[in-house]
Amino acid sequence: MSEQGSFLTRLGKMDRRFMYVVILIAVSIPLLRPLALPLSVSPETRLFYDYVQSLPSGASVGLTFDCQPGALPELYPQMLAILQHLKARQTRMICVAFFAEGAMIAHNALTDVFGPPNSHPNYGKTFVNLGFIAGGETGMAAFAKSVKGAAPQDYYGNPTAKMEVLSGVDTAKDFALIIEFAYGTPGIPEIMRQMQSPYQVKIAAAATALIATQIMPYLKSGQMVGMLTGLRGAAEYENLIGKPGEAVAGMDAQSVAHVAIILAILVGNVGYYSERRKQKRSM
Amino acid sequence: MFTLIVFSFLYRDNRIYKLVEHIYLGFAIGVSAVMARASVTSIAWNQAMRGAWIWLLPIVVGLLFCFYFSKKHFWVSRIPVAFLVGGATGLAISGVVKAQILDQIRGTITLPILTAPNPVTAINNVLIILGVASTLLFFFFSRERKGIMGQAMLLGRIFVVVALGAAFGFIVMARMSLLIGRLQFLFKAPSLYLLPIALVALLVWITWDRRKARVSKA
Repeated sequence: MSEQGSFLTRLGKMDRRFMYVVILIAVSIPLLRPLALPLSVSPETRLFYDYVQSLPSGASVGLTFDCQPGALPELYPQMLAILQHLKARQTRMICVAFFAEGAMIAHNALTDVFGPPNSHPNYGKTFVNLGFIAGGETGMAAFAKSVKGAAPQDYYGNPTAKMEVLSGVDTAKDFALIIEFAYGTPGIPEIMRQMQSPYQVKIAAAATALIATQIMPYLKSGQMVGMLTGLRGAAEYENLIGKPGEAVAGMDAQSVAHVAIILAILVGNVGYYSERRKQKRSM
Repeated sequence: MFTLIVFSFLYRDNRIYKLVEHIYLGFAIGVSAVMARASVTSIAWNQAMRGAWIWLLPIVVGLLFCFYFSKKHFWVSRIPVAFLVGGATGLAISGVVKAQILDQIRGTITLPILTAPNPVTAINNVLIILGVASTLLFFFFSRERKGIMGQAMLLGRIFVVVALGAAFGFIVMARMSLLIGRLQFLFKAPSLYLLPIALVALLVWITWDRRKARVSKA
């Protein structure tokens, strides 16, 4: 009994680095040898997909790349899947960033989907990267009020005034949908305040899991039309468009890591209560 | 290589990690500065050069920030701060009332219960209404926590705790996604070839570190 007690106590006082190794192994094995665990589609992702699917050909879709490289493991697979879907739907894609790094991220995502954007024959006709607009929420308000006024040049220095992709797109009201790749501030609350509420434009969020609970109320209240959450949202979307990619490959690892963490929480609690009981007995 | 060096922090803080951290910080600040300058040039400077002189006004006000470094004229740098705070607060408040208060209240009170499409949605909607009402009561401090009021406040507390748990669960999920993203990158060539070297370097470091600790103990 005392041996068992000391084992449980030792579990409670385990070196945190041992836990790092366990998590590393738990994540690595499914990445090297996929388990093909089943993946269901959440209602939030389904709403997002259905809305994009219902867009008519030629509809103007705004994509705001409001994230930093730290969010890319979650958001980049979402970006690729959504851009591929929009491309297949033949919508117009107007990319903009209110985070400084967002413009470069948009460039990389467009390159992966279309090839080098600036030399693409459809650049400026069906898609554009307007680059970074400084000012955070103020920049968002300026963009919503006058798209070409806030972005007189695109990311590559081309004038936007006579671009075909922006014909008929003057304010936020002219977008059929705005997809916000959300990571922090400015993000969903700001876009709600400056675009959804004053211009009644439809908003969909492609967000990191970190902020999912903060933005979920906007979906429940009907202020957003859909929402992708983290890597799981990306994996679900990849499955829906029939192009499984890196997100689907990462979902096995995510599931195994979660099981490892749940076990660690259980073990840690058993160790903690065993230690507490031991202390009470010795008093 | 930077990824592996950053991972070395998990064992212990070290100088190479610090170097990489500083390189990253410098790079991030540099990118932000260049992108902000490009945005100001594109939106304001180019238009001012085309004759729209009004665009010089925000540039001049922005330049007043430079007085931050002057001990004598520090107060001048407060002028652009006042513009920023005033403008941003005005913009935010004008949107908050509708987007984040009225629309949220309307969204909550119009949730269908009896006319919900299925029983699960109806239960979810009841939970949302109960959660909102009891959480608001939990933050109502003008009544003693007794009787029915106390029970409702306790329910609100439970909802707050559950919400925090859900938020923490999402945080864990987000952090795991970051690790998965990095490992997917590391398991591909050419970074895959660096892994054995990194492993050997880590083992050598741990051995050297432990020996050093033993010697200093002795």
